[in-house]
Amino acid sequence: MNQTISSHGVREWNEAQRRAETYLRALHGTIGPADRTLLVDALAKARRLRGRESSAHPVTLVMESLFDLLPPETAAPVAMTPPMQRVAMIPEKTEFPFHDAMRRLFNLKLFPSAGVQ
Amino acid sequence: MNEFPSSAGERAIGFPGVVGQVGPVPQTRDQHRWAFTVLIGLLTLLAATFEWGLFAAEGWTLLNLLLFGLFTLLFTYVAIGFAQAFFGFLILSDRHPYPATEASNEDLPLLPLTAIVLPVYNEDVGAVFARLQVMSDALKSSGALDHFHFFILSDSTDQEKVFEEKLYWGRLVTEVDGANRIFYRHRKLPLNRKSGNIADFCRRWGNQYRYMICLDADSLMSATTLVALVRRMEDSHRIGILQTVPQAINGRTIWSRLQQFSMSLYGPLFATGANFWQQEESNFWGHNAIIRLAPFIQHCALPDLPRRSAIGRRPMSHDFVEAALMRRAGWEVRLADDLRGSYEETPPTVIEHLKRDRRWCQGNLQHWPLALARGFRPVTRFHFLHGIFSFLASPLLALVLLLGFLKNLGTSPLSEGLYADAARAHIAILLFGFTMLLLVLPKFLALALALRRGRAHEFGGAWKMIASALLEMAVSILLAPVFLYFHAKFVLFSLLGKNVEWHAQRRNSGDALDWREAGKVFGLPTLLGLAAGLVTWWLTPAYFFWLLPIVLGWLVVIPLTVCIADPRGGLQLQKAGLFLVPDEVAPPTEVRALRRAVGVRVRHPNIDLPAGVIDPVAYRQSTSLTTNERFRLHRQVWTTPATNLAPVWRQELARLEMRAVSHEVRGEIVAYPGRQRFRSRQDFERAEASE
Repeated sequence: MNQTISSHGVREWNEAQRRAETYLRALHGTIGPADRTLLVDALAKARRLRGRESSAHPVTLVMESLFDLLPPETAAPVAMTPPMQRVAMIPEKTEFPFHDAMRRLFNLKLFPSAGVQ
Repeated sequence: MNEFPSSAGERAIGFPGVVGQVGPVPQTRDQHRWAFTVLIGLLTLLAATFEWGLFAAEGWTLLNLLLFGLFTLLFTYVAIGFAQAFFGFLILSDRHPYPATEASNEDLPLLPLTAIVLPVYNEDVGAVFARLQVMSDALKSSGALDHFHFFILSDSTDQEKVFEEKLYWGRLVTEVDGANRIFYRHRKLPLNRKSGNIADFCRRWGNQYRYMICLDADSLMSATTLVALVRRMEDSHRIGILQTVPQAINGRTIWSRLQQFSMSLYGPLFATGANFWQQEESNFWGHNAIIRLAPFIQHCALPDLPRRSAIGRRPMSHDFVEAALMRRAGWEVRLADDLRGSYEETPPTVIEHLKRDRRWCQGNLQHWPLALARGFRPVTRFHFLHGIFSFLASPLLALVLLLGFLKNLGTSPLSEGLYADAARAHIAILLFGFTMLLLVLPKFLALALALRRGRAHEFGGAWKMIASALLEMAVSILLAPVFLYFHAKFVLFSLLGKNVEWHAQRRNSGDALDWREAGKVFGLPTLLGLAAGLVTWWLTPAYFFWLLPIVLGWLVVIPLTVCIADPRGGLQLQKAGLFLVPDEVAPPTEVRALRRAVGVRVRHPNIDLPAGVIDPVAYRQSTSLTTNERFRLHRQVWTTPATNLAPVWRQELARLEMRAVSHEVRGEIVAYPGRQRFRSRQDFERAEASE
């Protein structure tokens, strides 16, 4: 017990509590009744674990417990895009009579073809 | 492939699916165009007569012929700008630039679903989403939210930016309950840049919407304007594109405040004047506009330009081309010059402004083959040529200066002036004065209009408005030679095939321009100014005084650009009541909301990598948001005691804890069984013993 207290004492448990509260507040914006229950359970579980893993830091114990206790996200993930309904968007023919005529007239080949017309 | 649900309806009511089916031409349109053309013709004729008189007395040498031709061409360009402002002045003398818009919400349930698309490319993510949230909130307040879907179309190549975008999207969806209403799509391969980004949206989701409101990353529109745009499209089924006139807002540096002032004061004159003669053949500016999707998808896919060329085969300035294609298909392109509530931001520094001009320059030059392509309307060809000339004018003016120098080599000494006889010297001064008059008169007309219509208070009061306008003119005159130099360089580079890189624009003014950067960019024009001044003084002293305004601009460019890029200077001028604009003096709701959002962002900077990793919302929301490594890191950071954490994580956690403390300070004390703050070792031991 003394070992536990001396190595992981007052400050560490305070830090662990604060960390868990901070996490839940960042997750939900505020701490509601469900979060309080979660915190109580996480702290209790961490204390139970401490007996088995005496070297683990309270922050680790509390946060691991909290992660285990947090209910999985049950709601369906938000769709990033709506379902697709593909349509074609193809350029209409655009003629360049002036440029074509100039090319025919001077047979200009300033820029050799890259094989793509 | 699905057919457009809307296109069947549009065909059923007899609207164009083929070329040439246009509505009846308004009777006034031709009259307006005649008046516009006659005014330009008269002004150019007058100037050409003066010029003719000068050269005829000297004899028609090749040099004089060339100078005469170039001068007439350049003067026509000046006259076009003046004519637009002049007619804008006449129209606005009888009506307010922004008449009150309709506010009835009775027809809201009848409005079709509209997509608001926001293409982004490595932008300031926090700012982009702040604007989005302001628009979403405004639509919610107006009761029109159900009629709009938002699409953030990301082409970002910076993976951290992509992560940030996803994170902000997730947060925004959570905060405004935007599931299935605010969407995010990232393209791994940003093919064909912004136009490709929009086309990709059209191909995937375009047939689910009748309209698309196209925004830029720095765009903001009020709910009233968004709804008004849809209403107008519904009221007139011939309109393919309806463009608004965005007002510049949120300028912090002197340069951006100066621009937003000139856009607010002079802009309405030019926009109204353009509308006077263009009417249903207006142009698309790429953003802050509503587009009818069925004809856009059917007709506005960008064509390849003929063969390979130095300026590229894919149109970069897609907006002009899309407007041209829409017109070719028989749909109207209109300018809603009477709508307020459309905003954008301007580049904070001259360098950022020039970067944007570089892209626009290459894009506009690409329009040359299209200006001569088959099937386009004359006004469309005019738009293309006017866009090209807006940049081509600079190398042509540089050529005029060079030819003027060559012509004056070895002429009379300083005492005799540029022209040997007094009469010709008077004509030359008159011609110079006439050109300057056409350039600055629109600004004085705008001032007169604001004073006459009692709008001076919107710009901080009459005297402050006049002082701001005079200052703006002084800076514009000094910077005109700098733009001349760079535009000429851009044209040359574009024609030589030196490609323009697609850099994200720096849109905020957080960092002022430093002397080193200014020296690097403007060093050459400064040296050019020095050399031009010395050489003309030495070889053609009479010409020196004619060239002096240009040389002066080049010589002062470095200190001037550094000075006007300073946000502190901008703030001081704002406090002094200079360069104020109506949207600052009486800010509309959405501008106020955006300022609040930006203020919050300044206090709490962007979500960066560490913040993104520890964010529990992102962690739990969707696996599509984050990579596995981030998930592991997230858990690792949260389960590690502060003393073992790297400072960057410690700092981030401290930030979140501070927020938690502030909640407690506000009275939201968290109490639950077993919660206790151990004040001493004895406290702790007691708790241990009690378990």
